[in-house]
Amino acid sequence: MRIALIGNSHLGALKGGWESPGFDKGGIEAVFFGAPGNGLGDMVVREGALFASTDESRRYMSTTSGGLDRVAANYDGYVLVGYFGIGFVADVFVGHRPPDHVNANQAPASRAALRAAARDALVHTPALHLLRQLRKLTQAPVVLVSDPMPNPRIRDTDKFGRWGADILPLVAESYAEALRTLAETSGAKVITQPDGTVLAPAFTEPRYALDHAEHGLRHMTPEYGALVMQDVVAAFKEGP
Amino acid sequence: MRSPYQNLPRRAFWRTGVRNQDWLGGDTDLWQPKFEITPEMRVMTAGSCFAQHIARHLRARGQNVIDTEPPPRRMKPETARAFGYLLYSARYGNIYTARQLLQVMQEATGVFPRPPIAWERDGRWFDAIRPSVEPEGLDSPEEVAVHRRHHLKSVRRALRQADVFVFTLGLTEAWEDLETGRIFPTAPGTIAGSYDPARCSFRNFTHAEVLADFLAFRKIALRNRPGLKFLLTVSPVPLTATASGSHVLPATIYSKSVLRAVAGQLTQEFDDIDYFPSYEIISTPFLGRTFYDDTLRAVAPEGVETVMRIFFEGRTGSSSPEIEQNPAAPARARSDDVVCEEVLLEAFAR
Repeated sequence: MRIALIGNSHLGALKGGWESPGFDKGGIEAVFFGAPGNGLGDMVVREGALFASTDESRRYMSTTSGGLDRVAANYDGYVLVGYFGIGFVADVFVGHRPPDHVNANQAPASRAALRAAARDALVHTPALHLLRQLRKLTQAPVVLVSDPMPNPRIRDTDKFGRWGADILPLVAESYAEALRTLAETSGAKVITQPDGTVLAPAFTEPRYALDHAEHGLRHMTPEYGALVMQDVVAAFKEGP
Repeated sequence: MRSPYQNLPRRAFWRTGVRNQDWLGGDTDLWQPKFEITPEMRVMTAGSCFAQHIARHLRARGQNVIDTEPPPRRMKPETARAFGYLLYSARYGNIYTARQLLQVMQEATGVFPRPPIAWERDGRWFDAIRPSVEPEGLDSPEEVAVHRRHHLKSVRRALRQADVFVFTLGLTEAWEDLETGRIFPTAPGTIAGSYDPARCSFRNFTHAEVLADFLAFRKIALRNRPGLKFLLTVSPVPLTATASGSHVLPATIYSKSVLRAVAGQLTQEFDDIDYFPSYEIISTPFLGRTFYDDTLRAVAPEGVETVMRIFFEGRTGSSSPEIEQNPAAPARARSDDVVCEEVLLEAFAR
């Protein structure tokens, strides 16, 4: 079985895990296509394949895949890595909160409205754009892998400002519900963060998180990547 | 021999103004605005279901439409509309009657503060003055009160920055809370609450009452926003049901006639009030076509587009500009896109 993994910078941890000594690939051959940020998130269909939209993304794609300039339609399965995660749902709560969490700069919103917005947040993502593009080419199985939750050290930085500790449980709860909806409605398998790697309510256990501030405290180790890739292998073994 | 009709423009004559008119593409000269509405002017919108079309098209064509209660980030426009966002300049839902408009503005500006009224359904709580904006209801009457306080602040903020207030008069029929005089947009028991004849009574407002209510609203509005201008329309959407005892057809014609007459009188008497004849475009037979869909109630997309084309023709003096591609505003409005509590009444139709 030959699969293509298309992803953002989180693809790095998965590649590291995939190539770690002793990793059981289950007879699967994997080709990785990666570019940082949303570099490959806006790929479009042309000539029966997926193409990156910028020269820079094309260069990344070529580098990560061993010289390929397109994602062909003849893989047995596809994995879309990143392009959706808890950050999208956290965004919902930036300007709106339930009345018991609202501060001076925010508007009260009902929990129902916030949950609905969280569901929308995961649907309007580059991941779903890519899925729609892929579906123009192939009905091969697609697996969606979420962005990991951040290193808890992010709480000590100004990047944490828009989150706020008091709202995190609700963000996490809304995210979990939105993931369930995504799994039910997208037509793809959704792989969430492996249980043992989560530090409640919305972080990654420090031992799985890269500790470099320059990585934005959002990137994970190859050990984390290996756990996710185990789930990916299992998803393709299970079949649809 | 001279006649006062001799030098009148083509629009003044039935043959050139109506019979030979190309309503779907021509320069109709149907509306001669009293005042200019430039794209930079801040427009506040409110009214009955049909007003949602107007607000959406104004936004889509780049008009500066005020929104003081925007939806949460990343919420899709269709979801947002189901929760009462993106419909109007604040999240008041449909305001069908002039009395309801007056009361909302009295509350928002502090002229006449009133305690919130919460309706219950299956253990969930709804703001009786805008029950449709929370389809699943809220946790408690206290939460209803918190949301209402924020809403009223938002209404006040919208009013105080508006240059033009666009209002679509929708109905004369309403339900009134006997204890407080509050007007509900829907009868108790339709979305939530329950109907108790001892606490709630039917009202069918007269011309004099609608006129007085709008004038009282105008006074409050101008006190909060001196120089504000008003653009009125009358909703062409017929009543879904009447509680007046009449047949629904004459009840509809009564209601629309009263509203049209009030709009006409206000426009004649005040330089800062104008009327745009969307009602005439949609609901009269003289254009030689129907702009209603199969229900004979909902306005078909072609009707909405004709109305808005003529609106922009009048506003800009030229043919309609292309609708900008805006994900929050689909280029072709579908008649079922509007949020209209009245459709719930269908469930009660025999």
